[in-house]
Amino acid sequence: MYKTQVACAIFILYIGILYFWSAGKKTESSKWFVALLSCSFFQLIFDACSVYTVNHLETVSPILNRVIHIIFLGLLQVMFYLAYRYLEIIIEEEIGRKIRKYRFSIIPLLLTMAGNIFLPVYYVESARSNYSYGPSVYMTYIGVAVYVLFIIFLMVRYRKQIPQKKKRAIYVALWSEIPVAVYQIMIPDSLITCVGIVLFITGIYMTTENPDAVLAEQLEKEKRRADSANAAKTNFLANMSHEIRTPINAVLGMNELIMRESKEADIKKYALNVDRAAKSLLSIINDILDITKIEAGKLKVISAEYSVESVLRDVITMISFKANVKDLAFKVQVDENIPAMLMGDDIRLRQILVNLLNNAVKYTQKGSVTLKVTMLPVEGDKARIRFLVKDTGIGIKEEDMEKLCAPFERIEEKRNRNIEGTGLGMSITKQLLELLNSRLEINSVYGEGSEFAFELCQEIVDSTPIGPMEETKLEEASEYRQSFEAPEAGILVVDDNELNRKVFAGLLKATRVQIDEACGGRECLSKVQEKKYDIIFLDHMMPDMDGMETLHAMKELGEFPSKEAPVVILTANAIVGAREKYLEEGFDAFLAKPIDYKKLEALVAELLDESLVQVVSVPGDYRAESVENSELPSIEGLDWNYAGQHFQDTESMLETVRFFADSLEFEAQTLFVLSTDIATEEGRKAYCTKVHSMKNSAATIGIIPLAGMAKVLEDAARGGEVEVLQSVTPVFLSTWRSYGDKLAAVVKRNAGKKNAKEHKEEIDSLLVQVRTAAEDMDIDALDLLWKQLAEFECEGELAEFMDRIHKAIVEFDVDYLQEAVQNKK
Amino acid sequence: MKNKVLFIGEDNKTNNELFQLLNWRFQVTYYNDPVSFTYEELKEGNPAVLIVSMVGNRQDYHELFDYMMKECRETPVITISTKTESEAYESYYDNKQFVKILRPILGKRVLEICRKVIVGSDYQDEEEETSKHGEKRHILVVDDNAMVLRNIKSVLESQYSVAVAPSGVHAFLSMGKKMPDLILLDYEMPGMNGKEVLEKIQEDEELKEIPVLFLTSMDNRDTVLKLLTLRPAGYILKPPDFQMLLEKIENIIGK
Repeated sequence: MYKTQVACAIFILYIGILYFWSAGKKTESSKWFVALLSCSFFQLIFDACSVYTVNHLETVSPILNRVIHIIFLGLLQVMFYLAYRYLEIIIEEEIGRKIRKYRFSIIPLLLTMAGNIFLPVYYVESARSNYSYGPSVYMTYIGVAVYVLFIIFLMVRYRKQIPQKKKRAIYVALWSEIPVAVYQIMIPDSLITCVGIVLFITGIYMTTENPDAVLAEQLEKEKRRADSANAAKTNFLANMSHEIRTPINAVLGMNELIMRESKEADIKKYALNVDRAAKSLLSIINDILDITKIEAGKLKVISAEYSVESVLRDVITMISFKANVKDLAFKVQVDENIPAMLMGDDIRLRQILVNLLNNAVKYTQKGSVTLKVTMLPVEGDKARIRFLVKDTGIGIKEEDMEKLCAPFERIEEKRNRNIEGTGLGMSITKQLLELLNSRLEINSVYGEGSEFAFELCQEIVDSTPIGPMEETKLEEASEYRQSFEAPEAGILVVDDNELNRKVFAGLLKATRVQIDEACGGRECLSKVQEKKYDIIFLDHMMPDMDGMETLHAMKELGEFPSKEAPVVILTANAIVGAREKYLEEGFDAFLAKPIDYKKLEALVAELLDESLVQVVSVPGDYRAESVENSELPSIEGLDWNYAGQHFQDTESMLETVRFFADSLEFEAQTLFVLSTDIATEEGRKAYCTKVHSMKNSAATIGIIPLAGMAKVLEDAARGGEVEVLQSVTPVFLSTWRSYGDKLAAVVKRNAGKKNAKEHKEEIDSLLVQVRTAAEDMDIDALDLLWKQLAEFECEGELAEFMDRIHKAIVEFDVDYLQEAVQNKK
Repeated sequence: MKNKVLFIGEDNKTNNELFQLLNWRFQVTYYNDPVSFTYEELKEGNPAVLIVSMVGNRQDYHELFDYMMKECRETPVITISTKTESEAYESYYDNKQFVKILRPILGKRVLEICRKVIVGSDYQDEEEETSKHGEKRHILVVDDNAMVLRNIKSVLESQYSVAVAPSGVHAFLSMGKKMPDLILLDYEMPGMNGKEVLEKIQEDEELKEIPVLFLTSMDNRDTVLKLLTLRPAGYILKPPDFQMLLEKIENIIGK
């Protein structure tokens, strides 16, 4: 009879054990659940007891029976009260604040329990089982009903706040309980309340208090939080990228304007420093943004058709310049069979190669850096290419290999402190390679060098082999060019314009050819009869005897030492047909003015006898950099870039400008004198020659406005336009003279450039002062002393020494300064 | 054995700087939330002096002062305030226990007064530093980066005499030649770093009197906390806002 009750009690016990055995957060609601569990367990025990006692009314004392009934009924009500409170707590947990407005909700419980105790109960005999009824029992039903109503009220009121799952659980529990209750009322001897209770408890356990369910819910909450954090981070990245780059670009842009528009050399120098620093900063930021993107999985690899050759050329150009600066040899070996076009992300490939090569150059102090690109056997329609970067640098220790690719870690920080960088390059490279389905192979011997290699397998778009990468093109990149030396050769240059002669000599200085000058046809004739020249350069437009006349005169000389020498005409006359005309006249070659030094060199090399010529490699076109170098003062009307094309190096250009400034007044006066005689044709011819020569000088050093004006006058003189000559000449002369002041800056700067050899004592005394200033740590004195030392032109070892002193002063390395001066002595 | 000082003041920039300065010389406990300060802490802490800064103050200190007069007769109370701010407490200053410091005043002066009060000797509250009047104060800047040295030197030169040193070792050489009134010290240097230099300075009898400001380019909390534990007279972030740098220096050693 009471087996059902006992079975239910055991089941509840079982659930209790399961519950306590599991791990999991015990929340506020768990406490109430535990209370509910325990309460139901005891309720069932007493239920069992009451079934027993009610069926053994004779043997059991009525008082005991009564007490057991009271407890059994009381606990039943308590359970529903607890269920109500439990629901309250769940709702509070869900919405995060307290809702207990009904502190008096416990009153019905107290009332009904009192009713249990004091109201009578009757027992009925029945076939199935005896059971109890009466007011006492009715109080219980009332109590239970009240709380069920409360529960329903809560469910309805907070139906939006309670999560679906919990609501369902409660409904299930309720609806399982209510039919049972109804059945119990109608058939009082069925005694199945216990079943209802078990269903109720089980329902709650399975759905809400189940530790696993609780865990799952917590995990979901965490996941939602993590997802939103991630989204926030990605948005942040995207925004920051723009936020950071914008001001830096503003800095670079404004700085560019400063560099262009500033007239002061000092400011330009500062601006150049700002430019370098800002570009370096931008590159570091790009690295950081890249690495964060890669780690957030946001970096995409975009495949497109690209030319392998162009990627290689770009990379090679970039790196050879850097290698050159450090005096390292940069060797390139590219397999001929590599297909012309492949399918892949060329931007990333470029990035990887530049990273690896930059590192190689950075960490190599002497020796070489090699880039080797080989084609491995084709796999179907895909090509497999192996890229290898080798260097003879400081190498990597075994232990440090791992650190190599860790972001922000740099190896041997103390030793490598002077090497710039954030330590991100390698990490980015490695991750990029992973994105490209490749892997970085590293081999290194500490102290001897390192090798970095990776392979790419990409679809072939155009399988035509790229062929050998043309030597000459690579050389353009390598900053070295072929030139020659011919110290035994002798050249005569004939030009009435001294500046032109100086320029000419300067252009050929590097070839060590002996150059003699003649200021006109007559001097030329006398010189060629005294000495054997290997080539003769004749300017076309000269007063007295012009180039043509001189040539003819030479031809009529008979025997003379320079008879065999080829004669080259220098002319600004570059119209079509001119060349043929000159050759007809008997010239062996002609060279256009202003003179392109590369063409001049080529011509000389060609015309000289082979035995006189030795081929050498010389540093290439560093002129370009020096012209951008802000050391050149900005002069109105003077186009340094245009001027620069006519000179091999800044030195000779500045020298020529100085020379121009020095002879400025003399030239102006000469022209003035000639301009008084323009009535006659001869007079005009002389004028024309002079102004032509002045035009050339101005053009050579880049003063285009003067050259333009001079051309106008030259044309007018030729065309006999006296009025033009009369009106324009004064203007021209005053403009011409105005350059005296304008060029003063250049003149003054370099006028002081003294030869170190002649001023040894001065230099020594300055160095002693440097030592003292270093001892005193007087940074201002050091800066001042350097200004003075910089005025001396030094060569060879002394020049290198001065460079080191300069660097030490800039960096305020006082110890080095004291030591260096000491040792030099 | 440094003297214990209890410092109460609202949490603001001036008070933070004042705290750093005091912390350089004394063992300071700083209550930057005057509301939460309890008198028990006074008894427990048993400080040599109680310093109350009224900068940006919204508190009323009458109760505290009364308590001090009654229960902590032996502990002097120094107030740092403007004239108006201190007017409310005029009556207390008749008592020898209470000392009034009026702003604006040099940081150095505050330290001096505190020291004198703790020792119990007399002080003049109107005195300006008359020694070295007319001569520029001397500042030593120590940093391994020559550009920073040049920059800071050019900014400070108009008002102060400036010497530069590229490392800790050189800094001591420079101090030997001319004793500075203040030192700007780079926190991150190779070789002997800022920490070691400061420690050496604090070990030296003569040198420890010189206020040292750290220069650091690391803007993160950890570094700042670390360097503050070394108790400099303050710190400045690089690159420095030159206006702020001048102000800070002025506040400590004057113009």
